[in-house]
Amino acid sequence: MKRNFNHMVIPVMLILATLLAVGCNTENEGIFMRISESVEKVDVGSIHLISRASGNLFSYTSKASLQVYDPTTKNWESIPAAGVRHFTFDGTDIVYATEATYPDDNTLYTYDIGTKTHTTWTAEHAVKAMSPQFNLMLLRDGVDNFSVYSADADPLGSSKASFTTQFVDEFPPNLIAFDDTTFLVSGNSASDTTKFSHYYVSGGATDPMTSTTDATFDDNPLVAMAVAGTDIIVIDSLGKVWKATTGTFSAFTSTSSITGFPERNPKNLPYPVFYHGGSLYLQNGDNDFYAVDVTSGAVSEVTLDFADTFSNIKIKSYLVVLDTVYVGTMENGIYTINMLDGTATDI
Amino acid sequence: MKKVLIVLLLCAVIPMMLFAEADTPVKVREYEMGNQMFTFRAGPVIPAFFFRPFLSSSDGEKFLAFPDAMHMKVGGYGSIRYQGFLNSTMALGGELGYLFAYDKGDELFTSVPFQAKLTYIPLQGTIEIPLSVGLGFAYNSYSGGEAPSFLSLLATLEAGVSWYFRDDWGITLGTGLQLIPEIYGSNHPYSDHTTLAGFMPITLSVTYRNN
Repeated sequence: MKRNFNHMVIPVMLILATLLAVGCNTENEGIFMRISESVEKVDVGSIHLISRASGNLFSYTSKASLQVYDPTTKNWESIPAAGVRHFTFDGTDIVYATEATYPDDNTLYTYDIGTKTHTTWTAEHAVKAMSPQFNLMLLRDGVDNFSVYSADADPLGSSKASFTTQFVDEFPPNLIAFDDTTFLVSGNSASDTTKFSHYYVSGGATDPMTSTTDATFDDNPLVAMAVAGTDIIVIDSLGKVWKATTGTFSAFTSTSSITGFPERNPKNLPYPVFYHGGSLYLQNGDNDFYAVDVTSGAVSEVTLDFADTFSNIKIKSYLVVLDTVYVGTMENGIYTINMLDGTATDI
Repeated sequence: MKKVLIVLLLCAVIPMMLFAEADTPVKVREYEMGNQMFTFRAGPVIPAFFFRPFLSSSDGEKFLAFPDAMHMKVGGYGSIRYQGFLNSTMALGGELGYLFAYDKGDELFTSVPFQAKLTYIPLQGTIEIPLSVGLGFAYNSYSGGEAPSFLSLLATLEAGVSWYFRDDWGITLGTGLQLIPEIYGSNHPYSDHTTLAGFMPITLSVTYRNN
């Protein structure tokens, strides 16, 4: 009997060791941890924040179009507007364009957030993109011609930048803005539509962005940017970080990459990021937060409390007001990040 | 007076005779080696607890009990089970199931447990009390984030009350605990996320037995 028992020990130990080995989860942060941190979905869908005024947050939501949210009462109020396709904020009003099918022009409207009235623009324009928070819109204003304008005047004032031969109608470029006056336009090159051309615009000057040392800079569209003093960083659609300084726009070099950067379709859409204190912050495809130091181009994972808060929440947009970052999520309403203590709270 | 005594005596004796007839032992079915049971189970599952032994207090509570604290909703469980009797009280077999529950954000957690199951039936007859333990694996998936999944160990404890409304067919109301560990090694960056999860299915079963 004792002999039989001894023979059983080794197989039993092997079985137990196998059970323990397969029970180890090594591929993610923990399903049960994520479940315990899950939050209720808000039924307006994804939230693209536009502006903050009188304590209220104005946004475009995927399920309910233009909305205003009062954090005090937690009430969503609809702004009646059908078929909204592009939107921006001119500092006072929301300007939006409704759907149009190429080659038709879009109808534009101004929504006065004080009087809650809509005004239809006298002129229609072929709007290709608007920067939601920075009073900029990219228009097609001729065959293969594109220009960037402020959205605060009807009729339009003079353009901030024009591109007459650089891009083609078949593949309209996109607009990536850092603020009202500093932005870039990136899209398929007219000379070779498998490659991409990028232009940096600041203070009225337009400069082509290239890399004399790394041709792969032209392989993908740029989807995010930040500027600190003379340092510029941009991120391409693969999550590669490129750095240069003002005055050396042909010297972009790759410094690092964002781990887990998601594949998107279309891949040239602006990526949700926010700039604070010399760093550009973003959430990757696994919901991890990374900070890109604009001066050095170095990438580091964020370990502040807010990174934990968003470990189970996908983010659609940010709105920075001094040290407070308002966060529009894909499904879970609006949060704030206090950048002074690194905490996040749903509002 | 004599007649009254006779009537009282008859009143006492006749019922005794009737009860004596009713007390005739009914043959109770007895299990023996080779008998089999097929069981189909279904019912709600209540998320019971998450236990995170290595989690620091600043990152959350070590023990979360019941749906609200766990950020889960009541889900469901269904399974099929086959067992054969080893002797008159013990049956051994296997069970394949499917457990689901949504979290607070309406993301879906699913678990497919497959386990060896040992059942002990101390009380037998028309009413039975089956007590079971199970050991096996569970394939767990979650629809949130990057839709992670992992294979884990599984241990179960169950108790129930069965009523055999026919000789071969019975129904059982049972409950228990399904334990699913999610283990991270000490060198893993998320080793403090190691969790033992408990789920409590409350099931109604239909059993067919034969010999």
